[in-house]
Formats: sequence, structure tokens, C-alpha cells
Amino acid sequence: MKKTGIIIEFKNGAVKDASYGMIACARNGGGDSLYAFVINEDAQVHKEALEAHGIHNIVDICLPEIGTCKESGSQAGWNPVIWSQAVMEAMQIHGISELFGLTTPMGRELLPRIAAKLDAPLVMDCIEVNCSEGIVQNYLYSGKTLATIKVKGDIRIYGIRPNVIEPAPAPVSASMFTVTYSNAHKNEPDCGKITLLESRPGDNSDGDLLEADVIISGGRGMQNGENFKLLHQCARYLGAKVGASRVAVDLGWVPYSMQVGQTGEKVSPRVYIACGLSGSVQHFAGMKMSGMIIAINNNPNAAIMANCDYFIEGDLFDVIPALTEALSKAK
Amino acid sequence: MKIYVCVKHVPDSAANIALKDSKHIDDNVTLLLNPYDEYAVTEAVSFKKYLNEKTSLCGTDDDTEVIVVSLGKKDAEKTLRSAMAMGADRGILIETEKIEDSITTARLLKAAIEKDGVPGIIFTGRESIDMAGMQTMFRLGANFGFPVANNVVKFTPDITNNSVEVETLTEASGRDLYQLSLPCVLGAGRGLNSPAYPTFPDVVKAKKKQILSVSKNELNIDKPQASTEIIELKLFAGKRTPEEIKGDLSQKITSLVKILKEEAKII
Ligand SMILES: Cc1cc2nc3c(=O)[nH]c(=O)nc-3n(C[C@H](O)[C@H](O)[C@H](O)COP(=O)(O)OP(=O)(O)OC[C@H]3O[C@@H](n4cnc5c(N)ncnc54)[C@H](O)[C@@H]3O)c2cc1C
Repeated sequence: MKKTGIIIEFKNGAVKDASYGMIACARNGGGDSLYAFVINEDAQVHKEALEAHGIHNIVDICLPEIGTCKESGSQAGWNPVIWSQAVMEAMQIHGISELFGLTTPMGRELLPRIAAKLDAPLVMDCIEVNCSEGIVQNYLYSGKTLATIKVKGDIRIYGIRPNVIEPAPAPVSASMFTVTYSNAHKNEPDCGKITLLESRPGDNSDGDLLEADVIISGGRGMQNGENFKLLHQCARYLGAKVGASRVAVDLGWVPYSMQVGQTGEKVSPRVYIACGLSGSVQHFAGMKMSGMIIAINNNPNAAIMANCDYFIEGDLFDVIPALTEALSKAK
Repeated sequence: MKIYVCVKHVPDSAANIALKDSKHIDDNVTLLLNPYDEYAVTEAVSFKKYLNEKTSLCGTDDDTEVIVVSLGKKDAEKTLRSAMAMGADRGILIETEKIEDSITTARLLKAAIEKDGVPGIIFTGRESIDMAGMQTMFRLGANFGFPVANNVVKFTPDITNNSVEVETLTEASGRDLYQLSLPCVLGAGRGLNSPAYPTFPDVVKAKKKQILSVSKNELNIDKPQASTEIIELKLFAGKRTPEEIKGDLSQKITSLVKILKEEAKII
């Protein structure tokens, strides 16, 4: 029987929607026995939610030395070096031969550390996985091609792009396990050579583009950082996160965490509203997988106007405030 | 100290990609130094300067050099030359016709580096913009038994303690601070420094610098059991058919709200 481990991510004390999507993905063509890895969270609290999505086993990974201090919002006791070792220990104890995680800042730290240690194959940013065949799909060459990749190895590791796979509830009942990872392992080769001194959480108000359902982005047309307020106001009514083009970042108007594109975040929201940005090849590389693209631009010849679902030709300083007002009235 | 920088020759971010066959792109496009690797090279060169200043104060001799290593076709020499124009001292090209996966790449990089010298530190970019595997630096570190930090945006050497302190960029502009013992592998992220465009004399000088070519076979690595292999590649245009939202401002807004409500169902 093939056993699949899934690293669950949390946000504000709840399982992230993207994690449910990942569980649905892990069930595709496999999923005989799914193990949810819950690290430094109260696993019991999330049991029902995970069972509803088809998880057969919940592994509560405890890190006593780190403590389980519950800071609000961020992952308590985050330490990628220790977390990845604890996940490997849980994999070994339960005989896991297939591991899933999200291609998020957390997954980008844990999955490659684990893959490197186990010398196991890993594909990040998968949009589809066929577990029984070991075949995945992802975008290569800056989103310009769609690749089918064969993954070979005794243990296989998949990083899933958040938000592309819909959650699909499938109720089962789950058994609970606990794995306690202790510092006894500190004499493993890497430990001690790398020490996390401090983790400074980011500002959630500007981040989280990766998992946003709706994104409204601004580019050079915003003219300055102050004007991004217009987008934030509108975003409130849309339940959207605010993104930006590289020009807006390079000019110092907004932080780099807001950049969408080839050298920024690669996002897949249901709706992407592009305001005052031209739609360069590099920008498209980060948002062309969006469900619906709406462009607001005063230049009918901008590239974005030729490759979107809807466009409004007009001045964003007229359109955005008017949209915000209409949305506020609709509420 | 020998400072190694692993760099990759990748299609220009603005290039139009066409296919040669069902698995490969037509490499008749402009290829250049992977953008994140520019930060890696820049940091390596300034680290060398820092070390030289330190040693000249202590009076010890200086044999610090920056060596750029790339795995790719013959054409990847161009990327090595670009890195040398940015200040690297010499280059090593591991020649292969095939697109190697991360597992094999990390083994080959390790073998080539080991053959050349004893690394004091290894820099890479945080990912390549073509394959975006996000893992080669971790594998390289594991193969050597060196600690690894990726997406590094601040680098502070602490040579007396034979270690470095780095900051890595996390979610929403958050930062993780690490101390790593040397030697280590660091994946450079955007913001680590501001790469400068090489001047014409730098480019000329780079032409005279040495590039050592080794073939994949010469390195004689153990063939890994595990692999990832592209079995099919298709163009993804993501082409859409745009529809204009017309009318005066209030008509446009009414239509837009209707689309958001009824079609996109987000409000
Ligand atoms: C290696 C590399 C990597 C890159 N990575 C990225 C990346 O990750 N993300 C990214 O975005 N870019 C990236 N770029 C940069 C990219 O090439 C473009 O320069 C950039 O995307 C352009 O930003 P923009 O659309 O905001 O600006 P512009 O191209 O200048 O477009 C501004 C647009 O705003 C419109 N406008 C102006 N005023 C108004 C108004 N009042 N109302 C409505 N519309 C208005 C204009 O008509 C124009 O279309 C990268 C470049 C390179 C070389």
C-alpha cells in the first residue's frame, strides 16, 4: 500500500484552502493512505476538517524544544532546518514514499531540504499530479511552455502550486499519531552548522498574493506609491490583494513582495485586474494562469489589452475610484 | 579562499519560445546569464574584495579567487564571459548536450568544483528562470555536507568565527536570520545587491580570462537512481480573446460590476 504524506499549512489557526486543494491533488491516481503532517499546531483541533477532505491519518509532529507558542497568524516555532528533519523522521516512522507540500515560502524551504537529504526527486510548482504514474505537469520557461514530467525514484516529492487545484471534500475518519522530534538528532551532519537566529514575520497586509482569489495590480501608471491607496481601497470591497509590476517596485513605490511576474510571484487568482501596467512578457509570466484578466489602461495598444478577457480603455484615476464607489454601494 | 559561483545560461526573459520537437525548445533564442545569478556573481566579487582588504591588513598572501561554474552546451561560455566581465576570475564549463535534472546537475557541479579546488563558499542564484526547480543549491549543499540558505538578501561575513550571517526573504517581506558555518552554499535573491552593468574594458578583459572545459563523462559521477525527466513540452500561449467594456464611465462601471458579480462570482 502506498502511503502519502502531506505537509499541511495553516493560516490564522485554520487549514489553508490551498492545503485542501493539495489533498485533492494527492488523491488523484493514488492516495491509498493519506497522512496529514501537522507541525507545531494542535492537530486535534483540525481533525474534523482534515477528515472531511479524505485524510486517513493525522500525524501530529511535536517539536518540544522549540515549544508550541501560538503567535497569531504565523507558523509557531518556524525553523526550516528542524522542521524538515522532523518531517523526514515522520516519513520514516510511517513508511511514507510520496510527499506533498505547497510551493509557498514554507514549501520552498522544506521540500528541497528534504529532497536533497533523501536524494529523492522533486518537482516544484506542479499544477497536476498523477501519483500512480509519477507524472506531473508544470509550466517551464517562464510560463511559456507546459511540461509533462516523469518522476522516478523510491521516494517522490511534489510541490503543488497553491490555488490551481480545487478542494474536493471526501469524508473519511482518521487515526491520530504523534511524532515527537527532539534535539537528540542534533549531531546529524548539517545541524549546528546552520542556526536560525531570528524569524521576523512579514506584514500580512501586503503579502499573500500566492493564495489570493482576486488580485488588483498597479504599474507605472499609478505614478507614485501614495496612489496605491486607491487600489487598496478597491481591494477591500473585492476581497482582493494588491500586486504590482516590477517598475512600481523598482521605483520604490511598493515592496518587492508585491511584485507579480517572472522575477516576482507567480499567481493564479480567479480574477486579475491590471491597472496602468502594460503587460510585459515578464509580467505575463507571473499572471497568465489567472482565471479572468481585466485590464484598465488608457492606451488601447498596450500589450495587456490584446491578451485579456475584458478591458476598459480609460484613465485609471477615473475608473478605480468609480469602481470602488459602486462596490461600496453594492454592499 | 576559493569562491565558487554556479551560473546558468538561460533564454532571455523577453524571448519568444518556439519548440524544436516535442521535448525541447528551439535554442535559437538569445540566451544569457540567469537574472538571479547576477546577484550571486556580484556578491562573490564583493566578498573577494572584502577578503583581500582583510588579508592585506594582516599581511598574509592573497589567493582568493572567484570561479564561475556552468553546466550546459558550448554556448554557455557566453554566460561565463558575462560573469567574468562582472568580476569573476575564471570559469569552468561542464559540457553536456542534454538538459540535466537537478539531481544530476548538483552531482556534476560538485564533481567539477572538487576537481578544481576546495571551496570556501559557493553562491548560486535562488532559482533559474527557465526550469525554476528551486532545489539545485540544496542538493549541492547536501552532496558536499555544507549548510544551505536560499533566497538570501543580506550577507555579512564573520571570518574570525569562520561563519557568515545571512537574511533570507520569507512571506510578505518577512526575514529569517541564519548563522552558517563556512563552507556553505547560498542562493542569492533579489535585493542582495545591485548588479552593475560591465563596462567595455571589463568585457574586453573578460575575453582574456581562462575557461576550462570538462566533459560530463570526464567527471565520472555515479548515475543517480532517481530522476525527473521532461517527457513532453507544449507551448503555453494562454491566448485570450479580449472584449471591450464600452460606454461612458458609469456604463463601464455598471458592466464591470456585473461581470465581477455574475461571471466571475467574486462579489
Ligand atoms: C530579467 C527581467 C525580469 C523581469 N521581471 C519582471 C517581473 O517579475 N514583473 C514585472 O512586472 N516586470 C518584470 N520585468 C520588467 C518588464 O520588462 C517591464 O519593464 C515591466 O513589467 C513594465 O512595468 P509596467 O507595465 O508597470 O510599466 P510600463 O510598461 O511603462 O506600462 C505602464 C502602462 O500604464 C499605462 N498608463 C499610464 N498612465 C495611466 C493611467 N492614468 N490610466 C491607465 N493606464 C495608464 C500605460 O498606457 C502603460 O501601458 C522584468 C524585466 C527583466 C529584464
